[in-house]
Amino acid sequence: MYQYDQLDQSIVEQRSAEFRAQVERRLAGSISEAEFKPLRLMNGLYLQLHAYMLRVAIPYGVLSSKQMAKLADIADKYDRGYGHFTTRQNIQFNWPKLIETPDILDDLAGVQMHAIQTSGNCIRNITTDPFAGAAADEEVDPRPLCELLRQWSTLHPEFAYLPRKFKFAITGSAIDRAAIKVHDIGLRLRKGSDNRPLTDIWVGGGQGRTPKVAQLFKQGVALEDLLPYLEAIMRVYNRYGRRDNKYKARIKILLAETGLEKLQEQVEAEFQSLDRTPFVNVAAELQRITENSLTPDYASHNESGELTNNGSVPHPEFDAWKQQNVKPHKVRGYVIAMVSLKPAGGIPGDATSRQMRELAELAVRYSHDELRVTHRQNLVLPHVLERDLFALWQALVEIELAEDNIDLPSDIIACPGLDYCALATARSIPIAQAVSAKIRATEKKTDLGGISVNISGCINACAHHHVANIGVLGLNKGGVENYQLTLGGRNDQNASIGERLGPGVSGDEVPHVIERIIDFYVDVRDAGESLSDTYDRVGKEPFKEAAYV
Amino acid sequence: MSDVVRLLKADGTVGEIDAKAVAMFASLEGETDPATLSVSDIDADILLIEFTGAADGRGFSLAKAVLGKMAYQGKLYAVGCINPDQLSMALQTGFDGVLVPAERWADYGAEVWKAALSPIVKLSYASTRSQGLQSIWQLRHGTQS
Ligand code: SF4
Repeated sequence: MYQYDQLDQSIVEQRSAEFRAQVERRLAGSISEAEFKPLRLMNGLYLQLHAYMLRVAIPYGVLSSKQMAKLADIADKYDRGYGHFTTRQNIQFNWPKLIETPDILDDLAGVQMHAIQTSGNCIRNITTDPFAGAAADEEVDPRPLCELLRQWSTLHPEFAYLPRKFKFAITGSAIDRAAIKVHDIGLRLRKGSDNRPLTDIWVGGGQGRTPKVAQLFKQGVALEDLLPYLEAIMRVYNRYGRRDNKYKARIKILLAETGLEKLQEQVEAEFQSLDRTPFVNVAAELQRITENSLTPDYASHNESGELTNNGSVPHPEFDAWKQQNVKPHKVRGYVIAMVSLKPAGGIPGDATSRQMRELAELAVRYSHDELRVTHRQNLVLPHVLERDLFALWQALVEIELAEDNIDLPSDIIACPGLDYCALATARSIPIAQAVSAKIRATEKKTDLGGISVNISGCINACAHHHVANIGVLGLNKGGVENYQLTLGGRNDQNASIGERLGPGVSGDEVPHVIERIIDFYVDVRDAGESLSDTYDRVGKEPFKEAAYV
Repeated sequence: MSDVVRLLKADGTVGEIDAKAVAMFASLEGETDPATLSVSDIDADILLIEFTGAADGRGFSLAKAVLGKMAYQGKLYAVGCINPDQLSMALQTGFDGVLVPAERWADYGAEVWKAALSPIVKLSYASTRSQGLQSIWQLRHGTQS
């Protein structure tokens, strides 16, 4: 895990002091809300339906125990004792007071954290595989590149006023757990023939009103060319991205309207003439980042004896949790343990301060001080000794975080919807709660494989419903909430956009429709077939018939 | 004398120019497509790039094109919808200064404009242009000029 040096620390502290001065100007009335808005947004401070909301960056979803404990303290000190983990691997606090936000930023700076660029039309928090550096199938660890991109994009003077927000995701594995093909830019790191890392650049993916799967833009870019090439893409986008209509302002629209070939030519021309002076130190910087990152001392942990379930006592609940929530690690004897933030009937992505604090402790004890946030709004203890799993599970049971539903239909992504969001057209959290309460019993009885259910409270698609196996979009029709369903979406290496199934249904109907879709899938699936595979094989109509009885 | 336009420069100083003189400078709108420009369009000792909206950052990338590919050698000033919180960005992207008309100067107040010339954030990772600003990458790797 990357450790700040004094310079990283200084820039975060300076940015915090700058924001304090901006808040003071606002509170003194010397700037209007209209003038303040872009300034607060650049620091992740939104004005929501009921209160301000502060989005704190968790760069590429990696957290130390100390940082998690600090988030718990902030939840208690400035908020209502909980935090909400987001699909961009960040955390949101829903009730801070404006006057206290500079203090929150100071507290964050104390543990090498910030809220820089968690909003606004700039390059947002870089996201990656939540198993980065731990996954058994990883080819290249993406975290040093994530950190390099974090630094490059932080307060980048040219790209603070882009046509629209801009999102990067990076993966270093063939199995894409970072959803790179539904990002403005997705980077796939892989090893070249001489073992040096190369990057394939995917451009123009995205969701919202016009969902698109990214196109392969440039293959095999060497690391020394990567930042100049990305800068060239950003410059072309900044110049030519549409600014007349915010719904057509993302790079996916520029790509669609310009055409792949022409956009590639424009970027290539920019790349060739680009001033490389700012990038002369990139290779050295990447090296320094790698050296300044803590690597778990796997051998020393191996010696610690912990409580284990040695198999003498049957423990079906532990076995079920292990089966569903534990993933292979690259180091023998270790596993990746996932912590579901989706209790049946609960609010997806929420964690109480007590849970955060306990998780921080558990990370110290069992996971080399490290946690991750996933884009499915769950948490990960990335480096756990297999023999410690039982003890870990028992501790998770104590804090009500041992739900064994990772990647099951009740592991729902839901945006804040009408409960918090000023843009919402329908509720999403209560729908997610009802769906998970209904579906949980079925999924405990039947092996469903992985099925993603995502619920957005408006067309902006913050819950990524387009790329869910089962997507739900909440709309408002004549003053009544109405929910459209999509099927067949996926966000992995075979990313695709879901198809609308049929007419919308009421909120009460949603859990029933989803249950019928799943029952139908279980009835007709071939051995080993996922819901998306079955949908691809049998097509929409049979699913539609089953869903709308 | 007609209105005075303030010139906030990358060296941290504030100059004054007569508004009539400013009106005579060669000027490009921020949304200008650099691909359509020829050398004659920028053949001037002083060139202005006009920012037409507070949230429109095209002028920053246009400056990069004019200074980079087109190798413009004169003075490049930003004008228009630039506010004090954007001053540092303009200076970092290569502008030699920002021109602030009297009304805009009064809107924000002299104090705020002057404060913006010595911003609280004195570090950046990659860029170096503005006075007093240090590049973290250069500091780390021993290439700070
Ligand atoms: S999808 Fe709509 S309702 Fe949900 S968080 Fe995004 S903007 Fe708000």
